[in-house]
Amino acid sequence: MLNLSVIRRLIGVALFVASGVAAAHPHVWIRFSARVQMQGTSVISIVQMWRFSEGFPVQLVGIDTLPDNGPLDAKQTAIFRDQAFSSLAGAQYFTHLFVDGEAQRLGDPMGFRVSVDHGKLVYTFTLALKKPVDVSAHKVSLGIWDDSFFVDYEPDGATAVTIEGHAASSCAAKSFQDRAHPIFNGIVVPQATAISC
Amino acid sequence: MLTLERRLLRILLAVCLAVAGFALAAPSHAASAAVDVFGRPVQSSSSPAESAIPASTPAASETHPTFVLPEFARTALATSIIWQGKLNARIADAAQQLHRTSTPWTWLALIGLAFAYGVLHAIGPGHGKLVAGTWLGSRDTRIAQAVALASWSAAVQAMSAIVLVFGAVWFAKAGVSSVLSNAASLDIVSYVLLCVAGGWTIYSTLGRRDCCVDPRALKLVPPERSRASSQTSVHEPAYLGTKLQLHMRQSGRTTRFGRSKFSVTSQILATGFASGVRPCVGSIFVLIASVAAHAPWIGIAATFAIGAGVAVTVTLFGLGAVGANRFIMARSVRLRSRIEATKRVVAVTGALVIVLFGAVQTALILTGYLQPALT
Repeated sequence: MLNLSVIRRLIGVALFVASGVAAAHPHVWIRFSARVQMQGTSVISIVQMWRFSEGFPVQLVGIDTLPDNGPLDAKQTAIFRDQAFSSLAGAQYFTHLFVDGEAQRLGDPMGFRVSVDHGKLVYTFTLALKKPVDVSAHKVSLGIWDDSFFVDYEPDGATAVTIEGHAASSCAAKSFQDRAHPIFNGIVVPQATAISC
Repeated sequence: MLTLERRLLRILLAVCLAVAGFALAAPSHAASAAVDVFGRPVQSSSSPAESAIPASTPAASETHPTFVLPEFARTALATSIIWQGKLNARIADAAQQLHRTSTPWTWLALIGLAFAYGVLHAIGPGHGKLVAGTWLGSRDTRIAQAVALASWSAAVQAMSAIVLVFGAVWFAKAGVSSVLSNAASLDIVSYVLLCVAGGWTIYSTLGRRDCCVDPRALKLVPPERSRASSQTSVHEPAYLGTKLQLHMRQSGRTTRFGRSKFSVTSQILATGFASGVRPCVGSIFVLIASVAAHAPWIGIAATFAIGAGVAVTVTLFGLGAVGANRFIMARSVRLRSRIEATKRVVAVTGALVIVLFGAVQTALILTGYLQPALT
């Protein structure tokens, strides 16, 4: 029973286990909302708002104190951009836009602002699409999640993703569990929003 | 059995040589340990992990595992994550409240919240549970040993966070902004130490220093002879050969058990230290916030409370592994017939799993195919 073949199988299991990233996550909690800017039946850009939980230590970015409420000044905003925002470019700011199942590259963020709302840190920015996507001709979905699950993104309310701009009246956003893109080694199925017209 | 041990030793030697080879070849490809505040590695341009992703293929970074956990498991985990987030926020509030008014109630609130956070946080997957479960599940261990391993590992983790944060505050020019990168650097240290700890376990097990001489499980002297021995007085007439034989056996058993206790304790210390040396980010966050509020003792207390919570969860996980080991061993007739040899093989295999886990992770990080992670 306990011959070398059994040991070989155990070693195989060990290598399988070892190949996965084993980590206790998450550590940062963010509630997000997104306003999908549309022109007719085409998505043009996505305006996002991230609301951090109180436990996020802003001292990590090199800022000792924040105002109790209101927007940060240009200097502090620049520090946040450099220390706690620009590094997310490689991850596309955790924004996943799928067109017919294919992930889309997004443009650089615009209008990055940081404020404090009731003691909570809030990011606001806009991500423009490299080229507009016609929703009527494609299956489009939008999700905001961190693949590594260091950050847990939760929708801020039942209507966290809305359609705005000059959208056709038939356009709608409907949330769903994106089982095609499980994260954290299949433990977490993120929430996404299907955009259709 | 001897052949098997030799083969296992050869495997261990091969693993050590492979790790050493990777370490020598690593510098040009090693992944950077620098991470941002979102725990994301700041990748260098030469990193294979990054260079493997063509810029023109947006879907390249969107590969996902095809399997998904069952609904009930995901629901339980999602619930724990939501509560973690709530507790994390409340810990910050409790720390501020405690800083304003230090009363037994505010202290109790902070400790309770931090403890609950630790319990929930450790529910998710982590290498500490993997290592503790493997070590405990691969040998006939006692409940006290499971508690000791989990508690020691959690204590090391708490102390690691404290040393890292206060070291950065007092000595680092960059201040606390470098703490997460330093914590990520300890990732590879942890994996290398796991190789060492696993290697020590294999060495001491093959050297018959532990594992299979549990005084509860084996009786070297039959009860009748044991009783006879205890009742035998030096004044009682007896054959010289018989008395000498009994005394020698007692002496040998005592030495063996003593050596076994030391060996198991050293394995627990080594394994717990290796798996706990990488600090928990949750503790780091609390410590940083408390230092910023000029109340470091609050952060230290919360950190140890988080550690206690983590220890509880890991202990429960470890007890499950201990129970599984006992269940299988008690019901396998074929294994019982060769109980000592079987226990040793399983113990060595478990230690080998720990060595392989540490070696593979070390190799992947050193070659840049895996980024140092934070827990």
